[in-house]
Amino acid sequence: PRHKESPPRRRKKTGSGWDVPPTAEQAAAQAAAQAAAVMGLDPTNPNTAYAMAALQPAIGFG
Amino acid sequence: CSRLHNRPTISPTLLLANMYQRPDMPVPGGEPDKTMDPRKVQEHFEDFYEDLFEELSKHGELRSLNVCDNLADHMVGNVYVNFEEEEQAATALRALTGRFYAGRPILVDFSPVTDFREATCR
Repeated sequence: PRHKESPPRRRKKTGSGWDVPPTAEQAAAQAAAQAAAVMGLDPTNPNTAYAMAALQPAIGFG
Repeated sequence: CSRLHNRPTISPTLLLANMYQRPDMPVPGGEPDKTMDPRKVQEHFEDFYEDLFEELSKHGELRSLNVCDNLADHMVGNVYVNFEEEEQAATALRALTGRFYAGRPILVDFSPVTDFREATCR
C-alpha cells in the first residue's frame, strides 16, 4: 500500500505500583525475610522472603 | 562470581534489587505459568517499565534503564538505571529509599556498572 500506516496507539496503563503498601501476606513474607537474615540467609535478597514464606508452615514461623 | 561486588559511594548508576516480578512466575526461580497469555505478561512488563521510567525521570535524564530477566535468583528482576549525572542518581537514591513498589520494599544502592555491554562478572 502507498499510504503510511500510523503507529499503534499506546494503550493506557492500568495503574501505578508506586507506594502501594504491602498486603498482609507480603508483610508476613517480609517479616520472614528478617528471620531469614537471622538464620544467615542473604537478607539483601527480597526473594528470600518469598522462599521463607513458603517454608513457614514447615518450620513453624508466624 | 563471588558476588562480593564493589559498592561505590557514588555512581551514575543505581541498582534496584529484585524489583520486577513476572506475573507468570509467582515464585522467583520457579517454573513459569505457561497458561498465562504472553500478551498479558508483555503488557505487565510495559506498565512496569513505563511506571519506573516516569518516576525516575523526575530526578534527571536517563541514559538507560535495564530490567534483568535472568534465571539466577540473585539477579532476577534487578533494575539498573543509568543517569546522565552522578548527582541525579544520588537524588533518586535518596528519594527511593524507604518507598514501596507493588507492596515490596525498594532496595536501592549505587552500582559500579556504567557500560552494560561490559557488565559481566569475571
